[in-house]
Amino acid sequence: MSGPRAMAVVAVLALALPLVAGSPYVLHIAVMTGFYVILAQSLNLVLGYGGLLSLATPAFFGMGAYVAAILALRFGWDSTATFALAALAGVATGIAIGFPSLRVSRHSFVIVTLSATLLLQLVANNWEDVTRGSLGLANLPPPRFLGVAVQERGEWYLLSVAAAAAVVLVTHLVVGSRFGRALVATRDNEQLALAAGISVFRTRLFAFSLSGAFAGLAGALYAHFITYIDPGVFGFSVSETLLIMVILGGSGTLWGPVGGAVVFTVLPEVLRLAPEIRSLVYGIILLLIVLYRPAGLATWLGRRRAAAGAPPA
Amino acid sequence: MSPILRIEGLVKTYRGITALDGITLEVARGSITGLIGPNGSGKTTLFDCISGFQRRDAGRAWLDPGEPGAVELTVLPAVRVARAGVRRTFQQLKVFAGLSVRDSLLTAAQSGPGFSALEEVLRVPQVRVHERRMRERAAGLLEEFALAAHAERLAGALSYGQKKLLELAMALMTDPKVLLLDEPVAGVNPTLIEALKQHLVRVRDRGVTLLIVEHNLKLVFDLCERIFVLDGGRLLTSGAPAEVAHDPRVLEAYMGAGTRREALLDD
Amino acid sequence: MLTDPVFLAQLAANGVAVGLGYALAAIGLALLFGILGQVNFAHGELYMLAAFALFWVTTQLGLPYAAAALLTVALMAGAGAVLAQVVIVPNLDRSFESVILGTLAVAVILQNAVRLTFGATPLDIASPLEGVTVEVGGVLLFGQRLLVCAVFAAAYGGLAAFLRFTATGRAMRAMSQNRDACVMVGIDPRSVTRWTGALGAALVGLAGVAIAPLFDLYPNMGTEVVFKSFAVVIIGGMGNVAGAALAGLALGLAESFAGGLGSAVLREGIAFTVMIAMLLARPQGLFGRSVRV
Repeated sequence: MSGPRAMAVVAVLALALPLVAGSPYVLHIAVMTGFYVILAQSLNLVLGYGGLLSLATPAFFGMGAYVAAILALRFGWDSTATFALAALAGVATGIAIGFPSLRVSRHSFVIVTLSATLLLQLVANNWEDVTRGSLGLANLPPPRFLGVAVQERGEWYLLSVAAAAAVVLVTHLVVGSRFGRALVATRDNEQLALAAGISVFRTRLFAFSLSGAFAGLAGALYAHFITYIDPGVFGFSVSETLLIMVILGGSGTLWGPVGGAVVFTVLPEVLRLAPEIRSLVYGIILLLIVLYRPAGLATWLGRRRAAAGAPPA
Repeated sequence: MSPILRIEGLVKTYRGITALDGITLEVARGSITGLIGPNGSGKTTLFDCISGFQRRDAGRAWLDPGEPGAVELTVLPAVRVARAGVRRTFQQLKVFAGLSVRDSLLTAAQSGPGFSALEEVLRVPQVRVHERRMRERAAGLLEEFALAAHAERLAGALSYGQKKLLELAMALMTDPKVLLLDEPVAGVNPTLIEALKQHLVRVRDRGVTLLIVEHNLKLVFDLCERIFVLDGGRLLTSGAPAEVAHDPRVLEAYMGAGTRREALLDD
Repeated sequence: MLTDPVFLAQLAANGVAVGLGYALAAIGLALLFGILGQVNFAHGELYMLAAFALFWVTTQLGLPYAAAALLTVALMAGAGAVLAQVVIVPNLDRSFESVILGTLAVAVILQNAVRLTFGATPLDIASPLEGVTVEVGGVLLFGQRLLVCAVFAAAYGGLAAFLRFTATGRAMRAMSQNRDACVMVGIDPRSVTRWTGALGAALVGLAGVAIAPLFDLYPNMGTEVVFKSFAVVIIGGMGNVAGAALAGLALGLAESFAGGLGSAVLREGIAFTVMIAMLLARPQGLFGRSVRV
């Protein structure tokens, strides 16, 4: 069998494994991995391909989660509608945050994305009429897509894989399009992109909004799977984890963040780390990357150095 | 023929330093015009102000002044100036290091007839037609600038001279009306300078007006029909190369007062 | 009640007290950006670290509040220099995202290290000014809050004097203008970076030790501080220390009146709303960037 075909077979087998041989616990981890693949691609689009350090992913994730949860609990709508609205909520949040922050300096962008996340957490905590504050929203029903309910872990796994695959596919299409080229151009040299007639602001806003859609979708999935959400979904730890997944996985590549998501969802479970220890380790890893792999950092920022040994003029 | 560019009373100051002190000039349509002056005389600032990369403090610049399609450049952001047909290169060479040479050219032609991002991602038919035409043009430019062999290499991997050629090719992808070249031969070896000179003449012959900032005075005097001389943010003088080269004020600006040189370049 | 002058005066007094606290917390951040062009995302965690260090020094070493506070600030200065040396100096010539990620990493490390060491239950610091109140014309002023105001005045004055009259201060101001020129005249950017880091950390450390006794201590407390400090710095003009001070004061007053005359939700939303409005209308902040003290 040829190389790529063999890899495809292995991939399918690997994907099927949890269904066949997995305990409920293994399936649970597998489902969560799918969600993290989606979140990682969300960040990858903005950070890897767009070159923007965004801390806003939890904002989109949380918005998607709350919108899906509230619509399901209050109105009982079909999940095709609520999930679509959750993704749309992510887009709207992306536009709302992106509009003031993408025009200003890169420092301010990072600050605003972080602040927006903190603010949304505050609102979620205080707007008790709608969100029940710190009590959170519980007893979320299983999602029903056109009448078909997703209840068993096996069914959830299929849904998770399908959603993750869809997101990866969309990312692939977007990145390979003219728009994707423009996005990379804005990352590599903003001034030159402007001089070439590319609207840097609009390109970034679109990418940011699309990443919002991805993360919003992940939020809706997460809410229904765990059946409980609270303002903690807006927490910074999501950004922390995603940064590790994307950067270590390979920022600005299609499959790197997928690998990163798999490794860093499974590994902490296997090692049974307490949350504080896991976060501490992530912090140390991140610091080590910054200090000792600057080439790695340059790669993830997308400014690939000229290949060594370029021919003379 | 009406001028293609008119600049009136352009002023730019930073924190007390006057970079441009009321520049007024016109660039003839279809010409190769030079802009020279000692370091710090304001040449790049002038480019920045008319191409939307800096906001001027006073004065205006027009593209196609007096024509029905006149565009006031000084109120536009950089993106709109580029789309209006005024392209530029930069003093510090800029390339898209992570894009291939071909993709860099295609990206430089991106701002087609106003496609939205959604249309581009979905590859609607108009986008595909535009893309095909741009690929043909890119292929032509790759041939012309002898970069065809490097078409799939990352732009960041090219040599300095090749990057300079790529920069020029990118600026030509959309048939600009005016090309502002900021030190196009800086740091380039003499053989390539000759080649670049030929390229520039060919570009002008296609109908593009060139305004060139350069320190390589030999190139400027060989190539340009008219030369503007800037000094300390002011327009010192202008004229044909021969006039400018022997103008005592220009000599003083470059060499300092009391210079005994009689010409800027040895003939 | 809305027109009761005593009530309004109380709101004003509270606003000034809280505002000067914001100012004290933010000037370190503004200084770092003004001189080094870097944003320290561990700023809130440094505040938290100072508070917990003070707790540790008072409970474990048994020092009285004043002495403990001074010791803590000194320790914080050291920590700031180390942070600058480890995270900023190696990245002076690299993209600024490296420093942002580095300081974010340090923030995560500090928060979780403190959580593991002290647990998550809120702690309390005893201060001699606890329970001390002064009444002026019907307006109540808390002793600890008065201390915060006094500390701010001293810190600001001290910083201004340092920047204006010392050689290091001059070097710092030079670096904010033009880093390459500094190298040319023999000023070592790395040394300036360490000093700035130390000074910035000492300032936020002062904020921590002065304000901490007013509230409970918990490992997450830095988040709120960094949120408000960012808003203050953006509103005042990034890198502008005087701007940050004024913006902090203004924000404190605005929040106080919003909370007293409006609602708690309004009060919380002001910082973010004004920050966004500023970014939309006047990105350089009220006073623009310049290290003027």
